[in-house]
Amino acid sequence: MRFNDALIGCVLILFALVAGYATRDFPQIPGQSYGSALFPRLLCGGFAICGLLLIRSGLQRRAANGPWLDRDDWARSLAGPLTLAITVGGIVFYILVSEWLGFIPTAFLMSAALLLRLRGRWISSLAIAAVLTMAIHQIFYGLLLVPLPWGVLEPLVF
Amino acid sequence: MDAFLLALPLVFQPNVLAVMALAAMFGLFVGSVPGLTATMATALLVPLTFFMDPVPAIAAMVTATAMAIFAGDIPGALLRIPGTPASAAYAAEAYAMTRKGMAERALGTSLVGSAIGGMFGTIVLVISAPQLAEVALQFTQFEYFWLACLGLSCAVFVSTASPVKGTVSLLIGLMMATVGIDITAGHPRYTFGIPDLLGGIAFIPAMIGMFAVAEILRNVMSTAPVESPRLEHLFRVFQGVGGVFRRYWRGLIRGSVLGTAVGILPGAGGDIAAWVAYALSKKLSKEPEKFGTGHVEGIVDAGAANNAALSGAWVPALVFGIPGDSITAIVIGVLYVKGMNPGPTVFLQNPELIYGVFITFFVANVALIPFGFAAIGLARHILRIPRAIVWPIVLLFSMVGAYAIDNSLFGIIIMLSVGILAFLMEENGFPVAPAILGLVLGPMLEGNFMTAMIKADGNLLGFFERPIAAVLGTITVALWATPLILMALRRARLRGADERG
Repeated sequence: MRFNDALIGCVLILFALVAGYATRDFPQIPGQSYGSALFPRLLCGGFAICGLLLIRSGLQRRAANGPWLDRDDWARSLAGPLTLAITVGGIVFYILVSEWLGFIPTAFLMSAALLLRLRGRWISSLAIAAVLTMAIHQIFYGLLLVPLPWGVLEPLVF
Repeated sequence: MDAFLLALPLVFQPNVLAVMALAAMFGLFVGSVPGLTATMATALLVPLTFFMDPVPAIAAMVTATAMAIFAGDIPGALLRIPGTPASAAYAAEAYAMTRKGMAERALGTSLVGSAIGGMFGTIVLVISAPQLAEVALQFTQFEYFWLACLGLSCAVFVSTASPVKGTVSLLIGLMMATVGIDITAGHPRYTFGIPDLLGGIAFIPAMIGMFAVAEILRNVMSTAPVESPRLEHLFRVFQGVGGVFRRYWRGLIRGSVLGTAVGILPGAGGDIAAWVAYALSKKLSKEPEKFGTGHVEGIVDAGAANNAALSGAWVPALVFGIPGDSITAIVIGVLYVKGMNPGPTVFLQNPELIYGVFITFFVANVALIPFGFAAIGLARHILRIPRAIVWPIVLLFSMVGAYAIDNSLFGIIIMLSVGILAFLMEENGFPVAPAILGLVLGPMLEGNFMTAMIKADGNLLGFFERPIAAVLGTITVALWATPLILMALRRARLRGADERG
């Protein structure tokens, strides 16, 4: 999914303005005329210059009939974006529910969904998801003592 | 020498060697599965090595990456799909050799070439790093500021065809580094009132996002299984390799020197080293017409160059704390997180650690031969592992790894955000290497800049007063001015042509 450079340039300039504006209340170093704001402001200046250069090259490409948005093969059909959505959705799902649902159920559901999407075979996908979840749990919880949440399984374990 | 003797028992103990053996297998696996890169191997190792002592942690990363860079050649030769970007330069050539029934010769050459190249880079590292560290001890904030500038500028100009996009990537990395409590004034910047951001964007989740999640997002959309040819005569791998190297020893040296040099340049790693070495080999060859038809000469140069670059990248990383490629950027970030500041003082305070790294490199490059041979033998089975299973494994591993650093879900949030950002960046032709360098070097760049500003009392000319600083500063300014001048000249010439025509 390639955006025209001019669009990216606009986003960069907008970002530079917002991030630059946010530096207005950064304090100065006592006795100097600059402070915490100096470095971020220089970076914002850089973003703005690059943004302008990208707008210029983007408009040149546009003048040569380049598209605003070039959707590669994967974006033309719905299959690719759907897989992408399941992948990202799985991570978001994990962030949202793993604390109360617990690592094992959440990770199992997430990886089972992705495996099913990628392979399409029910039984083996569920089995792989179960083995994967337990193996990761064993490595990080058992070996490295990372406190992965038990969640709803807590009454069963303790 | 004392430090060397002190370092020997640090490396040659059962648990370190066991860690290295496991890391070697991990690296060979990651390298031979297309889509999984050596940088990703490092990123995935971090959550595990985070819990180890410095020597085994670094040993694991050194071994895994050396193995991964070679293993990338295996699917390159057998399937014409480079396992890592560092093998892309000569995958077509190696595959052409396979089509001619010379797969064993191609793989044997690249295996031995990899080990020799890696060894050469290591020798350069061992000889030059302590000497350079002596010089670096004299450096003040001015020199460090310019050195960081120079390193970041190299990253911008080397890593991409479009310097503007490289610059944007660098700025993104530097901007991410400004998040959190500011070091000079103690003021929170861009934290949006989120306490988790006060300490800055957690580095390890960020690079897991950049190198693992972005790669997963790019790859989950095509997981078609691949069919691998069978190697008929595995034990012929080393047959005739001696002859190849006797014939093309110049290329071997050229590739090793070039690879080491490219590795030392910040921002450029094994992939660029291999491209440059392959192109140069073709240019200087007596039979350039044979290149592309399954000719082993280019594989000698480029196969040695990418492993040499891997070792070379550690020179600026150990001496100045400025990473030579994305892999050393991750290593440096991890060392910072562990409270060790890479730079010349490590040579004084923990010399055994430095020598530990050196010894690890030698061991890893020697071990490359037997381990690499085994990997070639197992290649068919490794390549048959369906990638539809690999990606969910990598994803879950990444998530738990990002969580494990602070035991906080915020790590996963950072990982996902940075991953999506890096995915969109690469889709649109923005390289990610400058961003990771910016993220690692940002605090050092700003810290030295602010201290130097205070020392020079806000006078920018003060940045050029010390001799080495003046040289470094002038090179940096020239590096940025050159493309602008060239652009202006080209435009003037075009305008002249317009007026005449």
